[in-house]
Amino acid sequence: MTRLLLYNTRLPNTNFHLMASLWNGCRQMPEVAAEVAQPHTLPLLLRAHRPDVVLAFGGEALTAEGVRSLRHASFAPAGARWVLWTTEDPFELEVNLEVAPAFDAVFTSDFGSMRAYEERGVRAHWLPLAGDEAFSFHPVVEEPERLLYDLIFVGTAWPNRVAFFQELLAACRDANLRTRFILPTNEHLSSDTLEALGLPAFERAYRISLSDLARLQNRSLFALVLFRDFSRFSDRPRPQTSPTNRFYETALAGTAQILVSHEMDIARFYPELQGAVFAETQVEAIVERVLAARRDPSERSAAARRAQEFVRAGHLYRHRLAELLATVVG
Amino acid sequence: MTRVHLIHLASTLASGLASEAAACAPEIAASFQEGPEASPSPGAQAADLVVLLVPPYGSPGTYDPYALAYQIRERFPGAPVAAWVTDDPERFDDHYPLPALFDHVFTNDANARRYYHAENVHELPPAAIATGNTTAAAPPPPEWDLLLCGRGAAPGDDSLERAVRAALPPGNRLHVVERDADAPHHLCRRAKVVVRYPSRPVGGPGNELLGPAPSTPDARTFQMAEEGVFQIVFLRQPELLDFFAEDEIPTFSRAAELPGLLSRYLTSDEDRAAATARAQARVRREHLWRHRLQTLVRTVTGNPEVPA
Repeated sequence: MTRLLLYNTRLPNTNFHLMASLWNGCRQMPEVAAEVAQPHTLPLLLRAHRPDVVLAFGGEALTAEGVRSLRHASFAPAGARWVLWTTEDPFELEVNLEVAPAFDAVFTSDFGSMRAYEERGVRAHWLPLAGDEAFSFHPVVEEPERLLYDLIFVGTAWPNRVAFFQELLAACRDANLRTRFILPTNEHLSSDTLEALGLPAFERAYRISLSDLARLQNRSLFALVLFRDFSRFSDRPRPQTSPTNRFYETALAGTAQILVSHEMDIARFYPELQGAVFAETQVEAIVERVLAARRDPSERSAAARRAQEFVRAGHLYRHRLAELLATVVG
Repeated sequence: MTRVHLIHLASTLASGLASEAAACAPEIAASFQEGPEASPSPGAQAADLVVLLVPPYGSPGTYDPYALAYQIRERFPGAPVAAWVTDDPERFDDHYPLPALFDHVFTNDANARRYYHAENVHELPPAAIATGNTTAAAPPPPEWDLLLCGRGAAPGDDSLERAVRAALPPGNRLHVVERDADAPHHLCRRAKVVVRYPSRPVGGPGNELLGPAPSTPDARTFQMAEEGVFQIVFLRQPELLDFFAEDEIPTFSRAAELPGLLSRYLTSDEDRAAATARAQARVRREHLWRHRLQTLVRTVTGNPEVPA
């Protein structure tokens, strides 16, 4: 039995569903006894839970000095392994590079960031985020009459995406596609900017839960998947270099994915998914693929099933935790 | 028979819940108590289960979950104690510690439930109080053809109102309310068709730390259906589809769907009445508070005699 303490490193944390998913993963591992600590309850749980492994998840808001003083505090169990799993690389790489040496082991969700850790003398392992069936799993909908949408995208229309969305939405309207685009605004992206998309604000301007996202994706022929190269924490554009949690979550939701990226190639990471995720970068090709699936959805449904089965078989949080613990405690 | 003792602090839900609990006899015998300090009603000391209807933090009676949990356990030694939350995720920050204090926690919101990361937290969606109204009874003449509850995505946005006005067949009378929550039931009963834009806040005071977004329909949805109000709902929280079929509460996601929906349900009294009756029957069959109380008791006691 491994006693694991999951440490949410930041409050407030609007991505706490990732931590909740991690905890769900632990529940499926009888060999793991897990608790969740918030920054203010960490000392209490270090004393009460006596963890073998403290997993700092996220990385934001930590300092190396703060971590070292916690590790050597009287209430901290001697011999515990302290592990960092960063979730915001490459956007907050500088902060994470500073704090990484205070840990016994470091995992990053971004493949391309490993080199930066190495250059600082820290060996980082690549451990991508994953999917959680409790939030995201729905059987693939095969019956066309049960589908509400042809194409869905839920996410942030970062400023560099606005022109693309504008072109795509116009083409979808011309092709009479049923679309659902939910695009919350933020301080970098005003509602005025999004007016150019031609979508009424009531259709697009709100946040939804991860579980609702999965429900909506499940009722769509395709989900559009874009990767970030922009962060509200940094003004330096940096492309994500490996699949993100959204990729695994969308696969679990039971829809087929159209991946729009010039940098990302899913099959490079997972050759067995060749043909199960559709890579398109041109608006015309996206619309044509959707129209083709409306005529004959068999290829789309087969792709959705393959991707879903692939994630369920090896890319849930329990799989990630098993890999992490095997690396850290053997 | 399971003896359930419900404790509340001036809850507006308590009186309706009392009538609903009475309908659960003889399998459930419910007693009610206002405030943990009041003398429990006769027989309450022998409760098989104690339920605290969790009040809003800072409400009269100074809600302190730690003190309440202690007082209840002192008074009812040995009885399992459940906390029943009806305002997640709006007050999630306050409710987050509850699983450590009570044997069971029941929350109204499915998405919030996942954020508790605790084994003893269960979903218990909102529901309706039975009023006895039937759609067959002659309703008052409608004052408006269409009542729009919510003008847009945020204060100052009128994009939905513009879309509805553009889709409204000529000659129909429209009344507009700024936010969905501002339209009480009696107002909704004065319209042939009610179009709703659910606008429960995401984050904000009371839900700043972990910020789960709401996913489960609010109690208004169930109560209005029970009272025979015909509603068309913007599909902001698709969990609605788990509770109602499209031919009970129609939904829309885009402005382009409004002309067809409004034309159909403003023109066809028959279609509207049929959908209203189906939604009402669904609520009376599955979504009254008595059904929730039965689920709660069954979950805690494992008693199979409590109706499903």
